[in-house]
This record gives sequence, C-alpha cells and structure tokens, in this order.
Amino acid sequence: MKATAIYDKSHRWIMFGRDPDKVGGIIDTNQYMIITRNHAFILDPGGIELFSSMLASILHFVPLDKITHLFASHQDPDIISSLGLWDQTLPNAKLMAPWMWEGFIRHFGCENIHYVSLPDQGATLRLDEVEFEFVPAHYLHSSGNFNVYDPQARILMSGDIGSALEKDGSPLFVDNFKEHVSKMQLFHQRWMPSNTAKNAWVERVRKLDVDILAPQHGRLFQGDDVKRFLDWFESLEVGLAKEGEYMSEKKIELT
Amino acid sequence: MAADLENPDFYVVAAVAAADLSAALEVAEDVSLAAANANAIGHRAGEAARGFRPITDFMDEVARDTIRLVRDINQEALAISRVSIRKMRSDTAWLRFENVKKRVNNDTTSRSLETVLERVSLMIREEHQLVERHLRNLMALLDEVELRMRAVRSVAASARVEAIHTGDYRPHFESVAETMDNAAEIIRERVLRNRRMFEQVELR
Repeated sequence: MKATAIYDKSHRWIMFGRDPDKVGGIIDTNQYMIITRNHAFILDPGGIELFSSMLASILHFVPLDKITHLFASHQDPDIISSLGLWDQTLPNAKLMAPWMWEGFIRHFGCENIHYVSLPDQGATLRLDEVEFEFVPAHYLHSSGNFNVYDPQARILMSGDIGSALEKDGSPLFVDNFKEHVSKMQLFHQRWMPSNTAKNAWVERVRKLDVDILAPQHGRLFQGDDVKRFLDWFESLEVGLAKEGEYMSEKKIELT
Repeated sequence: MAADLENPDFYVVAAVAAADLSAALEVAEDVSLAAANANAIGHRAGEAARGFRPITDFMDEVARDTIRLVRDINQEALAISRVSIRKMRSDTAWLRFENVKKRVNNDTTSRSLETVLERVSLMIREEHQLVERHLRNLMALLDEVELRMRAVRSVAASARVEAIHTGDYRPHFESVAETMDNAAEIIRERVLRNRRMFEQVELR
C-alpha cells in the first residue's frame, strides 16, 4: 500500500491508499493517519480486506502502542468493517464515531475498543498540542456523518464528500479540476440525498481555513481547487430521482 | 479474545517484522550509495587505491543482493500476516458453526453443518500449512542475509587495512569501511531481532 505524507510539520498526516494488493471488485479507499507526539489517530481505517496491508503500512511509521484513537466517519463497510480485527489488535484504543451508528458499527466486532459517541452538533479532541474538530456532515451521504478538521495543518478529511470513482492507481491530487468533475459528478448526485444538507455543509466549510480537502476515495484537492470544489458542489443538484431511470415500472428479471 | 501486546498474535508479529526489516532496506541502499562514492574516489586515487577496487565491487554486489533479499523477506512477512489473518477468520467461523451444531437437534441440519465444518477445517489446515511454508522461506532468507552480513564485516576489516595504503585518500576509504561495518551490524541486529520475535510467538 502506498503511504504519502501530506503534512509534515509539528505533527504528521499520512495518507494510505492505491493498494496494488487490493482484492478485485472492491472500491479503492484512502485511509489517513495523524501522528502527534504521543498518539497516532487513524481516520476511516478501511474494510476488512485491507486490514493486513494497512497494519503493515502503519507500522512503518508508529509502533502499535502509539495508536490510541480510531475514527469512523459513518457506518459503511469500506470505512470500518475492519473494526473486529483492530479490536483484537488495539484493545485499549478508542473509536470516535457518530452516536447513531453505535449499535450498527458494533456488529463489525467491538468487544475491547471503547466506542466514543460523537454528538450530532460535533465535538473536539485534543491530542498533545493539536485540537481536532469533528465537523457535522450529516446526510453526506450517511444520515449520521462527520468530517475531521485540523486547523493547524489546514486539512479537512471530508469522508465521501469530494470522492471520485476512477481507475486504480490515479494520482494523489487533482491536477485539472474541470476534467476531474466528470469522475465525481455521478457519485455526488446519486450518493448524496439532500440539497439542504449539502448547502449547510458548504456554508460551514467556507468558514474554515482549508488548504487540503482529503476525501475517502479518489484524489485530494489542494489550494484553489478546494474553493473550486465548494463552488461546484454548491451548484450541484443532488439526490435526484430521475423519472425513467430509477423510477421505471419495468422490472429486470435476475437469474 | 483480545491480543495481548506483550504476547502479540502471529499476524501482528509478521507485520511488525515487515516494517522493521524495511528499515534495513534503507541501510542497504546507503551501502549501495557508499559503494558508488568509493568507486568514484577510487578512480581519482588511481594506483594508490588499486587494492580497494575489489572491496568496492564487493560492497556494490552485497548491497544489491541485500536489497533483493530484504524485499523478498518483506513480501514473505506480509504474506504471513495476510494468511494468519485469513486463518484467524476461518478459526472464528469454525467456532461459530460448531456452536450452532451443538444447538440443533435435527439430523438433516446437523449433517449439512458437518459438511460446512469439514470444509472450514480443511481451509484452516491449508492456511496453517501456508503460513508454515512462508515462515520457512522467511527464516531461510534471514539466514542468507545474516551470512552476507558476516562476510561484510570481515571485508570491512580488510578494507581498514587497505585504507592505510591509499595515502591522502585514507580518511575517505576509512569512512567507507566504517559505513560498511555499521550497516552490516545494523542489518544483522534487525535480522536477529526479528528471528527471535518469530521464534517466541506460537502459531495457533
């Protein structure tokens, strides 16, 4: 699995992804780890099929006992179905995740890790000298959903927001925003159900100082592309149920 | 059951080893660079460094070999971690099926579960054998690296002697010998540490 430092100053942000050993048929995902003086914090640790690659990659940077916190933006399997294995590996860690998914996420196996419920309005977490914010991103796409904002590094880990569906091995950062739109348009229109929630999120994020917007699939946005993304997303109609496509009376017979 | 970090599971040990030995790769790459530098100095030093040439050739060769070996070790360690996790999942599935079997009284259901249990048992045996095979490969590769590092240390001792005859270039060649010796010691120490780790943990 490829590991790249996207911020390396007072603390570090490492992005993991573009795994060449990934089994076929599963969507490519970006995982992130933040390393402060005494802690390591894994954001959206990924699916069960990625666990061994993730564990080996993480150990290049930190020993196991430094990993104290995990974060799950929402309940999807590509986000956190590896939980049962992390639970065996890091029995003393804490999982920060939306309150409303606790009873669901625990189905992945959570006997040892302490589940810390994130309230709807958001929360903060201080690890050494860095204070992180859990920014509400409900209905984008999950009805209980958070982003993680690091005001020092000016990075917003945006979960599924900003995600794109593209070929394995794509570059790390968006290099041509106009071309990139075609790779993310369908994803946002189909996966995101609410224009109201989307606009509230855009307004919330515009107030933050963001240099890197780091989604869970596809490329990251940096500098002016962050603003371009917010403008594009704001003007996009999402949650469309098109007559004749999703609402057709005609049923397809499966075998 | 939770993993005890004092006595970690096999998949954790393998992942730790893969990460730890990757650092040996960086050391081997440094040796390769040092060999290239020594070669360049050797050309400048001309006749005075004649005795040093076979040493720089050896360094270059051993660095390249070590890089290849460490990459292979890394792959074996990752394979051990991956298959151990698969086996752990199969073990869990087996326990759950067994639990269900105990709770059903119906013969037909019990027989159908028996088929599933046999299939999972076979899978567990195959996974166990696969881990053992990767482990044997890994141990053999660790042996190979250790042998090479012993050779490097004895060549480093000869290099120190040869450096005496290189006149003004002596400090450069002494530094090359030092780099070689330190690198060999670092790599050997990592190899031994990881071997001990694998020997101490039991594959269940």
